[in-house]
Amino acid sequence: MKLSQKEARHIYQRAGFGVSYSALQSKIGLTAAEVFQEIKHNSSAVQETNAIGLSDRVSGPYPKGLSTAEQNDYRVARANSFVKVNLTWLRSMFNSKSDLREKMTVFWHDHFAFIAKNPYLCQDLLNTIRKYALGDFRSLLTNVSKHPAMLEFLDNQRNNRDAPNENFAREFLELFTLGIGNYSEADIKEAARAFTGWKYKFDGSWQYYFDHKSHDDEPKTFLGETGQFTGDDIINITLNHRATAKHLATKIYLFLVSDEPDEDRIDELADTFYQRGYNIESLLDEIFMSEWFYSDEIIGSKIKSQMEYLVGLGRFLRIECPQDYPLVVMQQYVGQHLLNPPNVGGWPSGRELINSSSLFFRMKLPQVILDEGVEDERFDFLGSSDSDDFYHKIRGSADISKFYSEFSDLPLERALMELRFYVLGQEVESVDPRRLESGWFKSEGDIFVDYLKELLQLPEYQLC
Amino acid sequence: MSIHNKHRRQFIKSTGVAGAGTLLLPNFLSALSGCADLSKVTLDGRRLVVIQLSGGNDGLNTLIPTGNDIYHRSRPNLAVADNKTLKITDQYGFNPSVDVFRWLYDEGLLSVVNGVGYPNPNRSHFRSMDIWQSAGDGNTELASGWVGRYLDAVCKDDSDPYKALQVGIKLDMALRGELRTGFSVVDPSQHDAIPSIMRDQRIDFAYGLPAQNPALHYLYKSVQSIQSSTDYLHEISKTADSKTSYPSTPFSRKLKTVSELISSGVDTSIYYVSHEGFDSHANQNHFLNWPLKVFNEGLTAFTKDLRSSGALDSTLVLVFSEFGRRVEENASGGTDHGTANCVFLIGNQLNRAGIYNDIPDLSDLDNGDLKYSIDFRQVYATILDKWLKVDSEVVLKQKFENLQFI
Repeated sequence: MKLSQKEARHIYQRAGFGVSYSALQSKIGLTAAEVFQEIKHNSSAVQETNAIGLSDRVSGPYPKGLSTAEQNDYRVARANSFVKVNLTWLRSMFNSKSDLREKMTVFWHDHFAFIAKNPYLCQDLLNTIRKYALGDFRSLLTNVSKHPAMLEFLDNQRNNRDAPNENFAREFLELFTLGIGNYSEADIKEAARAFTGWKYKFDGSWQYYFDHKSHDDEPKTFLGETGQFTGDDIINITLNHRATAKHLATKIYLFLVSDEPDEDRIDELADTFYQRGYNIESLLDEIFMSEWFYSDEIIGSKIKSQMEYLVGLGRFLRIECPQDYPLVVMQQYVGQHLLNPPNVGGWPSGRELINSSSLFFRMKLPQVILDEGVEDERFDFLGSSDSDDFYHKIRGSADISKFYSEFSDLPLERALMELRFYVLGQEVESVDPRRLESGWFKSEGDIFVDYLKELLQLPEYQLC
Repeated sequence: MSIHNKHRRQFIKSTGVAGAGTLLLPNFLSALSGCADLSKVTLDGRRLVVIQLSGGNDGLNTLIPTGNDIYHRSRPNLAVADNKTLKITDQYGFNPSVDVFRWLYDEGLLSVVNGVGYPNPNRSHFRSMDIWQSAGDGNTELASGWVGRYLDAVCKDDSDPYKALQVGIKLDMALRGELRTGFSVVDPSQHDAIPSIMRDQRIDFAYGLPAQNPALHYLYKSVQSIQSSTDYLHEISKTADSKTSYPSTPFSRKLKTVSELISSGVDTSIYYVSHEGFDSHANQNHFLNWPLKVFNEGLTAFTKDLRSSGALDSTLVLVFSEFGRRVEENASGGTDHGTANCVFLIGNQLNRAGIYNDIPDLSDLDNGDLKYSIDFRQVYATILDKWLKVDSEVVLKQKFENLQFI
């Protein structure tokens, strides 16, 4: 199957965060397999986030014996490091070529939602997720579950033979693997016992270790099987249940394909995933090379996820914020402050992302950046100068000259037609560029940008 | 390429698109037409404010059964010493972090309903929160929210989504009905920020809805409701400015916005505010301190504000959490997910202020958890029937026996 412009645009929207206009033109007529092969190739290298090092003062355990002033100072430094990790990742996504890997890293970091207390561990768990994001799920699950940040977040450090804490076991079964409805409360209690002994320590570096003393080695009965199970056995048993494959296939389908689950397709995907030993790449192959992925019912029918929206926009407008704060606020407003999920269940998706407040913001942001950001490279966010206001004052700028140069050789009307299709993926009648007034008093570049500003506000732009 | 477009007026104009423009004028008057004129017919201007404590607030450490041996034995580290509680009766005292409850109790403005839960309790945050928000139970899954279904019941079209309004950037499932969806707003005074396309005469978001693409259809409808509701809320709340000073936390800011909307006479019957951070598996005494403190400060400012403005006469506040915590503390100085919990009702039209019923028997537990004696949907039903004057059976899809707190 040779891809049309619409189909080529589609795979880049879903397998990444969009593609430049010129690159898109070069993909027309290639097959889905060829394009996806290239997308995977671009993601083969793993670019780690390296915002802070292990020797940083906030990378170790919380120091003892600090005065109140020193504690405050430490907390400020730690908060700043969290921002640094967060924005290093976001900015790298604005510029990355490794689209598929980053996209799946966003997915898995939502699937394994965590809030770290330590910024170094936060970065390290992010890097762990990215490393295995396209590989096999068993390694991903094992390495994430045994990561100090996760053990700390879900209280497994405090899960002991004599005093089990079931938080880790519960979220492991409900969120990471089987999904709700596929285990009992008793299974949670038994799994919690098996996970006793999974601990971490700091020994010049952060490490997972197995603490025999606190491990409960009595027999447990979990999902109908009985034995002296450890946490690794729980991983094996849950992966042996097809429900885990189904749970993951469902979530990936919803993330990459559609807000509406399709049971038949998800079942097929779950079978593939299960049979291929939870190989993530083979699951992605099946999705992006299937015929149904390119059907009209799928193309342009999904509400852009938070990062599909924000990273997509950041890339093609080349958003730059000299200050960090605006980029944090933007994440909060689109509803996904990276590495800072609202709870263990991760972030909402699909229609839940759209309400009056968030839609307002999503429609307004590009206009704000293009309006005020171009001339003086700064803007008062949402027109507010009141520092006490909920809408914080933020500054940022866009550089669309490179973007414009991809269209500037075309005659204006053609350029606008191409722009409309490129931005929206469809012909929207109400903003037909042929109906524009001549605008003879303006440069072509200005007309182009003003038209772009309109397109970015349309509800169609919220879809991919 | 040169681009100088600051302060430039809109230059691209329509050359005529049929049907465009009719719905784009600020038309807050028409917004009043969609629902029954609740202020006259049914409500007497009454409203409900729902405060949702997300994460599972530890009810047993909020309203404390003082002198109860089992409580103290089960929580050697977490139990609040009897003499530290804000004692209200021989049997009960409030956690000292929530002195607002003591004040409200003393003033006769608080009713605490204990042992509230549902059959076949679910200990997952998400599932249990869904259950509370949808008004289903452990056996019945409902896909829509009870506040949204309230809108379904009282509104004949969806022109007034702000009848149910969540303050904040998200919109909880509770406000998504089968037909109608509530509104979310951060700060209605921020009106200049409306995307210019919403004022664009060429695009009629009501006309020719793209039916073949459900997601796009949904977005167009959302834009439509934003257009009319934003105008309405802005117009009507222009003059509002609360005199009470509120703390600067997000939770307090939300409550301040609610108070301002109430005092400006916005025709909203249910406000919804969420406050997060109650999942206290470890180090609870330290950990819970902050969300409870934030809650306490915010609720103090809010209730004093409503009282001084007189709005408390027509406002009922419901405070709930998706579940309580287990009776016995865990080894981490925290508590795991539990079941039945207390809910708080605040107002000055209470029928039975005080402790409405006793907390469940701590010696008769279900798997280490309290047994419920009151279905949370009885609380909803009571509010719907007696306070909002709408047939609760329509909204909850079942009949539930009313309680006597109002």
